[in-house]
Amino acid sequence: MKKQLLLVGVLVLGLAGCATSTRYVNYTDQAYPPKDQYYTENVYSAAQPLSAANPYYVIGKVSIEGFASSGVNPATLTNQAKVIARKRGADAIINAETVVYRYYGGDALLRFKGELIVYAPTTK
Amino acid sequence: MKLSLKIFIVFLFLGLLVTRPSSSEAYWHGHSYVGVNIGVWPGSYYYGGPYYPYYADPYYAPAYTVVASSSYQPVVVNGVTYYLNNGVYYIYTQYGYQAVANPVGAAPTVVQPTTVTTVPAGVSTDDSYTINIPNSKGGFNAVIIKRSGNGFLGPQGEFYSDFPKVSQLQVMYGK
Repeated sequence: MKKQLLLVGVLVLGLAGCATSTRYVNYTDQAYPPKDQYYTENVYSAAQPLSAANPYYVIGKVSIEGFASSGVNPATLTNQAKVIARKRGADAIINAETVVYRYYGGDALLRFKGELIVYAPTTK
Repeated sequence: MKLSLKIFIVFLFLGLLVTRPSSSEAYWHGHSYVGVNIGVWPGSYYYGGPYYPYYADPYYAPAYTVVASSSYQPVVVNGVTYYLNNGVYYIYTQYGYQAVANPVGAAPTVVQPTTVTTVPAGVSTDDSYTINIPNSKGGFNAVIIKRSGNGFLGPQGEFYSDFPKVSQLQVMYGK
């Protein structure tokens, strides 16, 4: 009984400790096999457009946000986006940006936005 | 009182202490809120008028639905519909938006903004503004400007550090 209560308590703390919220919008019905944990997801901002010579598909859009007071910073948001990109089978993230909304009282909301892409198969 | 019950109550209290309404919750209630850090339970609480902009477009549509993103502006070149996003042309396929080389040919025809014959009242929400730009046909083109960080974004993704003047917008959207 005591163990069960402890588990419930840990669960409550765990749920409360979720510092970020994530949203993902699919642009396609197509699913792609997830990448392994060692795959390096490159992240490009809108100022770094990819060459059309290397064709790619934009498969979806991800948004992650959290409060600075919860320990969230741009790096953690970007890392979470990379994790989502791996799960979705994306090769890279483009049009990435992190916007900070400052609140009265000193807190700030950080919001990462980016789009997931897969490179089109090359034809010879 | 049993020790286990005391432990449970302590955990429950700690859980409530660190719980806060998320910005997403604020969004689903239709507004965003100013945060004031009270320092005790319930922590930062959000009330008052809208403070930061939110994006009420398909960006927040439920997951696993296939939607067209509002940031992809349809453009017709030589009868082919492309989608323009951040200066890159795409065509829509079953695999998603496929990046393509800039189409060669006539100047792109912007499908949106739409041409109107009368001047509707300017519409503004918390983060977007509709401006009517006079066009060469004697009508007006409705151009939607969205707030983005410290600046503003135009329909084709162009960034303005200050709110754009009509003369600026007329260069791009006055045709």
